[in-house]
Amino acid sequence: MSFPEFKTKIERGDTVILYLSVTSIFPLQVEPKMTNKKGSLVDNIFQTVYGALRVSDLEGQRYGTKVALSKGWALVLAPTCDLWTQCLPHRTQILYTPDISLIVAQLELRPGSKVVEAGTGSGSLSHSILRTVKPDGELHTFDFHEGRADAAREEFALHGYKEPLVRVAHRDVCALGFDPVAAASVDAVFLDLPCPWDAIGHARKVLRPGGRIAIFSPCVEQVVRTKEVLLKSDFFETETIECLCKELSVQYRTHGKLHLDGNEEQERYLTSLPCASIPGHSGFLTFATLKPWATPCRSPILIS
Amino acid sequence: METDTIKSGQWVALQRENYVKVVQVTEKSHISLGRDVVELGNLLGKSVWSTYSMEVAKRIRGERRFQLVECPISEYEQSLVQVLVDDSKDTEGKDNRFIKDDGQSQKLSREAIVGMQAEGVSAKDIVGQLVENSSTFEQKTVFAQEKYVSKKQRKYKKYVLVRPTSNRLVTQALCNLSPQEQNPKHMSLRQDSLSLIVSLSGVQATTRPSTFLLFESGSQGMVTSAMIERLSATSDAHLVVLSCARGNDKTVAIQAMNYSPELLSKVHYLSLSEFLKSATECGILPQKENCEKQEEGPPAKRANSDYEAEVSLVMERLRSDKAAALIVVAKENPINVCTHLLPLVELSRPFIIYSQFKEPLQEAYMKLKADKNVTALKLKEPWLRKYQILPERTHPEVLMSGSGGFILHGLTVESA
Ligand SMILES: C[S@@+](CC[C@H](N)C(=O)[O-])C[C@H]1O[C@@H](n2cnc3c(N)ncnc32)[C@H](O)[C@@H]1O
Repeated sequence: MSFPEFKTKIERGDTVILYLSVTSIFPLQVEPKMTNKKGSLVDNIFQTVYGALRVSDLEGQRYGTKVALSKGWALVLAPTCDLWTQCLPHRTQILYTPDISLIVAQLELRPGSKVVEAGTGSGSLSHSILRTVKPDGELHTFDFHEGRADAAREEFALHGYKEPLVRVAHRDVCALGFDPVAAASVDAVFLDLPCPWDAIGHARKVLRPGGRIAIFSPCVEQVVRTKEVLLKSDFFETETIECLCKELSVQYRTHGKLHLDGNEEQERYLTSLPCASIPGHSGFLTFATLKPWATPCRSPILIS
Repeated sequence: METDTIKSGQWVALQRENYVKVVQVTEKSHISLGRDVVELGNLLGKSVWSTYSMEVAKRIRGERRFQLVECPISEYEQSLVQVLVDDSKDTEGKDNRFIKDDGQSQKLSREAIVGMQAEGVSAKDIVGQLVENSSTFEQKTVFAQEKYVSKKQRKYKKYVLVRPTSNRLVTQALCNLSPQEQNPKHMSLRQDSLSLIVSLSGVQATTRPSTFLLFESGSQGMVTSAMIERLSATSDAHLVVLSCARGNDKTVAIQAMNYSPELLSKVHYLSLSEFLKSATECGILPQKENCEKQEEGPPAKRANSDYEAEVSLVMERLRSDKAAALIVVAKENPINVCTHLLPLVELSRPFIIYSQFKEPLQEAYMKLKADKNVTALKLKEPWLRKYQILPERTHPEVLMSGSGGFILHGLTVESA
């Protein structure tokens, strides 16, 4: 329950981020007992490369402090959306912080916004939407994979996000739309699924006039098709962008300055270098606005 | 369509094609839109979503003054440039090997065009005439023909969409300027860097008390405005905005959002030097000898009771709960501001420093690393590219933003 409010002390039921290093970050649920493979209740022990951690020992500790492991130490951190995205259990491909930030801003979300999302996937984006629209907004998120929908619902509840703030539905939105979301009732729709064009007519139906839509697609062909359908479904100001975030490694470097007599003089710089290989593509983000003068429609316009 | 009507003093967004401007509407206000001056009085009482054509109202010393005349949505829609060409049409299009660009292709004289305009001939008809009199039009590809028509149409009649403001549009208005009007006033802040700062800050409407600490200078209040939007009138999340200059609450970015007084009551504007002084006096900041002199602005003259009350409210909040985040967006080297304010931040909370330059952030990186009270320290450079999406003709836009600035961020932890 450490997501919706800020906490300073770790309590039972919290989700804690165990931080060993930049590349070694783990989410922990603070429960003293866990069920093992044989189905019996045992002490909740978490194994790391620096040794074991008895999870119940975390209760009462301050967030942002060190905990001893049998062969070293780790930091216990309060979850943020960014940390969660870095360490969440992957049930699908997920969206990362640069795309997520841009999506939330471009969808013009704020506390109180009503949002539809499909598919839920691993809930990486959902967490940022929930943080933004709470306490009185709504997220209706859909996935046609029953296991994922159930896992997401459970995870949200564990994090303190419940109905009516979030509703997770198991449903094929391309075939069946966003029922029971009422027509012209939401401020924004987000689509991250293989055939977004099949869901745009349904999105058109649930969006209020002037509402925003965002679609994430890895391939150009998907984007072209999506844009065509958007323009035929009363959307305007379509825009497609791609964003990346280059991480720079800050370091002192010694560098030889060559003199013409062949001698070298050593110089020291404070500089920063990008990694030799970096993520070069996540997906294209397509945004559009439902025309404010679009008339409410009772059934989705189907465009083949 | 929203039924809200525009009242005097309200801010709206004015959009001509992709160019957006945020304006305050009053009986007498007028603004410049590109090269044209436009009067806004007509907007009073109209719907916040409405469409207009620009008509010449009068001439003032030779300069044309336009007024906005509400037009049917259908007319506005026709003017929207939506180049959605069929592939089939395009493959039949002619190629351009025979076109000579000798400036002689248009047989209609300038005088004749101006004459038609003066007679009030519609833009559509003028473009029709231009097409008929263009010797090269027939040789152009279908795509080029459509481009020609829409370009000419835009030149002879201008349409404007009036719409409610949003931070997305404010950012667009303040950041995405044409190359001719490169504006250094936003410090390379771009939609992606701005959204990343706001998202990493974790600003949110909490039910329990939380206080976000922001220092902003040189970016026209864009970060402040984007963060205010994430608070809520009914929650107990507050934002403290520190700055060296006065009037930070009066920036266009904040005013344009028409925020309610209830929401704005969660935002506190204090001068940095006074804030540090009070925080030291009331013991929430340790006494430091190296409080650098140059940071202290001119002594504040507005030591009135409202301001005093504001200061003590902020001190009270920070005394019971340390800050939930620190965000420094500065045109100056941020290192001093950052190290002085960091002790006010609760453990395990984000801090974000934005700069147009990476050198001060490299310096800050080394300093913070040495101080050992932060973790997950990262220096990032956002990158953003826009695309033209058309069947068979999809490509990145020819011009792109060269920089979105640099972001250094991390989390506070117990010092080692
Ligand atoms: C890439 S994942 C979404 C990841 C998510 N954005 C995140 O950040 O964690 C795509 C999800 O869409 C779901 N999906 C695909 N087609 C769907 C459909 N027609 N209706 C509902 N869900 C669908 C898949 O089951 C999958 O879980």
